Amino acid sequence: MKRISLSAVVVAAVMAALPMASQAAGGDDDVGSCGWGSKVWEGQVGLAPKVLAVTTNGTSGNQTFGITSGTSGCTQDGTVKSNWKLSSFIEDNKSKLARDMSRGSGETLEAVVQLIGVSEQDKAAFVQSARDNMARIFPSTEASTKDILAGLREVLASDDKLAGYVARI
Amino acid sequence: MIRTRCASTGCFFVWTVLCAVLALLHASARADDYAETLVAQAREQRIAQSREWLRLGHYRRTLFGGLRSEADDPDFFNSPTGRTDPQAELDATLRAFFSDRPETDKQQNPQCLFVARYRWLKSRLQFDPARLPEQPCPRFERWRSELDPQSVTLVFPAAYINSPASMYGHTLLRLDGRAQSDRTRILDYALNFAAFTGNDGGLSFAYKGLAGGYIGRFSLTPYYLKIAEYSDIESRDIWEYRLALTPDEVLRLLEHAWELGSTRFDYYFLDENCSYQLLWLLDVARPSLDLVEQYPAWVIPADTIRSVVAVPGLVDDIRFRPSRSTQLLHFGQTMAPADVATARALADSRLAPDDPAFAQRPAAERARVLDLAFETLDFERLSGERRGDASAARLRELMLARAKVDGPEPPQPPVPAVRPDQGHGSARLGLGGGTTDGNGFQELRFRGAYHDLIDPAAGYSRGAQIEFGNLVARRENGEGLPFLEKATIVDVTSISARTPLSRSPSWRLNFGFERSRGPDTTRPLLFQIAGGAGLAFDLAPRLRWYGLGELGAYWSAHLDQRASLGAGGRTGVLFDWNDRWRVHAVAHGLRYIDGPAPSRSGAALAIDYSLMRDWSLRIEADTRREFGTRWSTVGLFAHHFF
Repeated sequence: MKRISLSAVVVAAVMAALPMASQAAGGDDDVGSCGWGSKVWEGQVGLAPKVLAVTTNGTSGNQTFGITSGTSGCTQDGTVKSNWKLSSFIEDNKSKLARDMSRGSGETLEAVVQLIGVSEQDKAAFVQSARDNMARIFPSTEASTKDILAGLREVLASDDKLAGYVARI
Repeated sequence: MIRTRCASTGCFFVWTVLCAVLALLHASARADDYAETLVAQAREQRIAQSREWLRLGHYRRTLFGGLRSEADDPDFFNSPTGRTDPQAELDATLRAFFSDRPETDKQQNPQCLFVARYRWLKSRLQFDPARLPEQPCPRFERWRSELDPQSVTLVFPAAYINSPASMYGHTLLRLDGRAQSDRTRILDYALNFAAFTGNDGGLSFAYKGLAGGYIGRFSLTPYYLKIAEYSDIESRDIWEYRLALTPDEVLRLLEHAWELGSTRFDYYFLDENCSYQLLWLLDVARPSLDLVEQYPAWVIPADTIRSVVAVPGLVDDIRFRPSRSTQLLHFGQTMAPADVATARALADSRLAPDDPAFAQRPAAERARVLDLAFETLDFERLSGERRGDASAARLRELMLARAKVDGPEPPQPPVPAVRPDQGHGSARLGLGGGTTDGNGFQELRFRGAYHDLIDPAAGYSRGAQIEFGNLVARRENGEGLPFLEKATIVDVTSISARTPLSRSPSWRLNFGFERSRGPDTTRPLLFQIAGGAGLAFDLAPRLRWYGLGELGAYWSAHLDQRASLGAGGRTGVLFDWNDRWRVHAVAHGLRYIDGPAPSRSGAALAIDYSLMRDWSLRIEADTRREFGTRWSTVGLFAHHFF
């Protein structure tokens, strides 16, 4: 998990150095610049956190959003901005998404279907297409959200029925 | 209007300015007038004393009969004395509504910042929009339509066996969006109150949590992140209690949540904790609930669930969301041992998915074994038991292999017959007697919270023990007055069985006061602390053995050796004969660096019989040898939970 954070920082630094591209509906998928997500897991492993968890349901504050906190990064008053929803969801559900996609069913997959806005009629085709092309959607061992989204776009683009959804990713 | 003849432009200019100023003064005077009218009206209707107003301000009676708000943030109040004076706060709030402060990303108009107060007061006092213009609140409206809840669900992450510390529980509210279906609840938002602990660790973490050293705030989190945190990492089963609130009540709850926004509350683990703060939201939504008043002292999350469930018709649906480890355990149990072994081999990279022998098997079987292998490996990665690229690479291989075979989804664990809110009450009172060291005794016990290893099991985790404030007073025959036999401050014990799929350690932490026996019939009082870790195994489905290595220390003013440090261990057996009978046998020893060896040792047997939900009988027998003295005790006790 620490490696994902590091790569996210690197990506963010590179992105900052490049001229800003215009944002499409799902556009700028560098979710690492949001600054949350994978941090949920930092410091949680091992015996000590379990013992100490008795006294307070504490949070380091990274993954919670103030209700009237205004606009920052990917959130607005505590809710995720619509163009960040898909990428922030994938960022925190990668292995579950991989698992559900490989089975062709599951809650995480359903959520992605809803976030992309796949219609009822197209759902079966979408699920099958994703399942048949897992290697492209998850191109490497530690695929980043950016990679996954790019892979998903590629796979959908090559399918006539589903090509229309590329713009939503 | 003053008529006058102006001979020059200058004169005309002065008169225009004067008229404009007079008009402005007149208008603001009219606004002031209306503000004062409203203030007077509010006093007439005694609004500052109303239940609704006191709830909105989080006021509670102090010991001296006054009122004081629990919000610890000056920004929550419009009046400098608002914290202790609901009337002043009401007056100041009404006047603040006349502000024309514009809304930006960083600030809000008071009508929007205190939207619940505004809307409630508006309906109570019938605000005249001509004299008190209504300000638009685009940020609140955007937030509300983004959340768009049709119902609110009280979520209770309970516990799984590896983590009894989490058995104490936590509660949060989920805002069930109209746009989500039952299959996409994970996209809802959760409203959560928690302490912001930063990077604290160690004893300061524990101390601050208890003493109010942390700040607590409400916040929103996507529900899937909460599931990741509780269910996946902390292995907690989650219970979801959907509340039957009306649309108006849901709206009021949202409005108040917005008001609470970033209000700071001092966090006290025992009484002003996560579960307690949620009760305020429910009380604002429906004042007749009066949940906050039921908790004058400490608040235990499971108790708040009990309070809510006890309100007729308030809970209209209850769902069980098993944790990742519950799912994994169940999954392993439904498969043949040979298949479990194959899954383990796949997870450990000792077997490849494209192995010829494996590839021969029917697709459905391969699918299940691959699923188990994936779940096992992913779970171990999440819990930190495995790190590194090798696991990630293997996960990918398993996933790719699974995509090529069709098979059913893994079986879902059954919903437990008894929910956490249906288990025994969290406080325990006990009465009993027996003989000790040849002398009869009577004993009174009180434990503030929560559950020991053999208290009635229903609704609690096996092998998990959490005790706070366990007090024992004993009177021996021939001694006039009862004395404090034991005062355990904290005891947390986790006896977690190792299986091929779950490799968590067992551990224990205990500290408090207890009385020992010394030479010459002295009864020295010691403060002692002990902690240890080890292993446990299930020898049979209901028979669990455990062994722990321990370190301990004591301080006592009554012993020649005032303090010492030692090491030792304990071993025991937990046996659940059936739903009512539970047995715990343990032998322990601790050898201190200064002093005769073994300095303290003993063996104990305890049998608990569950009469009904909140009553049980207990037989306890033990023999102890401490500081050169040896004695035995046998007793019979009745326990009542409430």
